Amino acid sequence: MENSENTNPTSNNNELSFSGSGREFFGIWIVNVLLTICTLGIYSAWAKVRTVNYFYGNTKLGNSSFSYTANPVSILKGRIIAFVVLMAYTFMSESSPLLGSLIFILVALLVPFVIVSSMKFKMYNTEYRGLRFGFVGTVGEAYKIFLGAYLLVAISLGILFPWWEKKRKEFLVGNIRFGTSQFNCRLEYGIFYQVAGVVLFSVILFFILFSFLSPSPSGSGVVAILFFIAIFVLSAFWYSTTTNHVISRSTLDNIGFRSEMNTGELIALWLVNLIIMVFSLGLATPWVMVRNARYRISKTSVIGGDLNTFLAKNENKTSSVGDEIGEALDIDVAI
Amino acid sequence: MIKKIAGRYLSGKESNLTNSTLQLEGNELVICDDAGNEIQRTIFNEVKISTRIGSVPRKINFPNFSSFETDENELIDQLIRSRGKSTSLIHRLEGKLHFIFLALVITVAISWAALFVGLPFLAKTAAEKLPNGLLNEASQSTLDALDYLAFEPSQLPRDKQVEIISMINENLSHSEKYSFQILFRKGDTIGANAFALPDGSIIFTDELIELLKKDEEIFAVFAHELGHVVKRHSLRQLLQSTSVAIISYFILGEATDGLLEALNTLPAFLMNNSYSREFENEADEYAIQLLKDLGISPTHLGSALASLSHYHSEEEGIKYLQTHPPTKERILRTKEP
Repeated sequence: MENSENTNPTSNNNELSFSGSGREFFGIWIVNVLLTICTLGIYSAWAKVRTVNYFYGNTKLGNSSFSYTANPVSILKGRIIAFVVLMAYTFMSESSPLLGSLIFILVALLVPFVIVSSMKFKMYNTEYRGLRFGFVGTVGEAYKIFLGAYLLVAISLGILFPWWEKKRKEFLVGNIRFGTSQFNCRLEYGIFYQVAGVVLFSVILFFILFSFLSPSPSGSGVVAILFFIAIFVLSAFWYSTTTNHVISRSTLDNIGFRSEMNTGELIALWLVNLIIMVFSLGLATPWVMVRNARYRISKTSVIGGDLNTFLAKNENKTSSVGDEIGEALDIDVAI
Repeated sequence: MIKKIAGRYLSGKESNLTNSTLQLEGNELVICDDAGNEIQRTIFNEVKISTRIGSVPRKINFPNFSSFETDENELIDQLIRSRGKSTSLIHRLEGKLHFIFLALVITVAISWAALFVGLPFLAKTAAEKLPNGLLNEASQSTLDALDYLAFEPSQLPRDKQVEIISMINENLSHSEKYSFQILFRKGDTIGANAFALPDGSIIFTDELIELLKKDEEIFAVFAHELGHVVKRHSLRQLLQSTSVAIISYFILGEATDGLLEALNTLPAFLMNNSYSREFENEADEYAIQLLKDLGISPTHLGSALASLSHYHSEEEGIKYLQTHPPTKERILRTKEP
C-alpha cells in the first residue's frame, strides 16, 4: 500500500486513500469515552477534535493529508449551549406543551442560521496542504432554502421534496471554498425525482402486497421485519445514488470528483455494521466508523487538475455554537 | 544526535508542497529543500507541534502560517524530548494494550453504575426537589389525548362509581392524607387497565371494575397506581430517559452513517424499559406496604394481577423488551410475609 518511494509529491498525483484502522482507533475511542465519562462530558470536546483529526489525518490525497484545527474550548461552549437548549426543550415540552412548542418554533426559526454557522465552523477548521476550507453560503440564502422552500415542500405534500433536496445539496456543497477557489455543484432534478419515485413506488407496492397477504396478528411481526428490510434497502439505494450524483457533479477549478458507491455493497456494509454494533453493545463503534470512512473514500476519486495551484485567503474566525447546536439537534448538514 | 526528518513543507500561501527535511540546530528548527537550500528557520519554542494521534501525520506550524508535515511521528517525539519537553500522555495511553483493556473495563463498569444506580438516584433526588405541580399541565393534556384517541365516557352507573370512591376513601380514612382523584373511563380497545397521571389522577377503566370482583382487589390496584403518583415516577422517568438519550447521542452519535442513525435510539429504548420495570416494582412494593398498614392482605394485589394477566391473555415475551416485570414474579412478591 505504501508507495512513497516512487511518487514525487510535486507531480499531479491525485490518489485519494484512507489508512485508518479499527484496532488503532479503538484505543483512541475508548480513552476518549473513558475521559468523557470521568469529566462528566467536558472532555467530549477534546475527544471530538482527536476523532475528527484521526479521520482527516488518515485521509490522504496527493501525498498530503487533511487536518482539523478546531479549538476544543469553542466546541465545549457550543456543546453546553446545545445541551441546555435540548434539556429545556424536552423538559418544557413535557411540563407545558404550549411552552414546548414555542421553544420548538424558536429553534426551528434558528435552524438556517445554525446550519450556516456550523458549516462555516467545520470548513474553516478543515485544512489541506496548509490552506483552509471555507463556507460562503449566506444566512439569507439559508433561510430561503431551509425555511421558505421547506414550507413549500410541506404545502406541496412532498411533491417538491426532490427539488428541495437538490437545492439543499447545491447550497451546502456549492458554497464550500478551498483557499480562494469555490466548489461548483450543478445537480439535476431528474436524478432526485427518479430516486424518490423508485422509493415511493416500492413502499406503495409493499403496502398493496401485504395488505392482502396477512390479516392475522402473528403475521404482522413478519410484515414489520420485511418492512424494516425494505426501508434498509431503499435507504442504501437513496444514499448511494444521491451521494454519487452530488460528488460526481462537483468540481473545484479544474479538478473533478467521482463517487461510485454501489447499493449492494452499501447494504452489505450496513448489515455487518448493524450486526457487530448490536452484538458488541456499541463497543464496535470505532470499527463501524472506520469501515464507513474506508468504504466512502475507496469509492471516491479525484480526477485531473492540479492540486498545487490553489491560493490562501485571509479571514476571521467563526464561532462553534452553530456547529454544536447543529450536531445535538441532529440536523443533517452532511453532503 | 538527531537525524534529519523527511517531510513536506507547505508555505501556507499556496497549495503546492515541497519535499524537504527538518532538523534541529541549537535551539532553532531548520527546514531545507531537497537541494539543501534553507527555506525556513524558527526558534523551537515558537513553533506549534500537533499532538500525536495514532499514525496520523504530524504538523509543525510556524508563526508565519507555513507548516511542515511528516509521517515520522517517532522522530518528532524524540525531537520534543531532546528539548526537555514531554510528549502526549494520552497518545501513550491510547497505544498500550493493557491500558486499553483497563479503560474498557472501567468504562463498562462506570456506564453500568451510572445507568442503573447513579442516574436513578439523581433523578429521584431531583424529582423530590422539583415543584409538585410541575407536570399538572402535562397530565391534563395526556388525559385529553387519551380521551380523544382511546377512551370512551364511562358507562358505569353513577352509584357504582360513588361506591368505589367511598370504599377507597374509607380504607384510607385512618392513614395519612393523599392528594388524588379517581376517574372512570370506558377502556374500549385498551380493555381492563388502570392509569396514574402525575397530578394524582387515577383512571380506572369500566372493564377493570367489571373484571375485579372484590373491593380489596380494586383497592390494591388503586394502591399500586397511588405508588406511581407518590413516588413521582413520571417525572423520574422523564429525567432519566432524557439523560440517557443525550448521553447515548454523545457517545454513539459519531458512528452513525445513513441508516445506523436509528441505532442511537436503541439504548434509550432498552434503558427506558428497564427503568419502567423498576418503577413498576417500586409501585408494587408501595402498594404491598400500604395494604399491610391498612390490615388488608397484599395477596389481593396478586390476585388482581393474575386476573389482569389472564384477561389480556399475556404471553411471556423477552424481558428486556417489556415495560412491566413478569407477572409471575410480581404475584410471588405479594405472597412474601
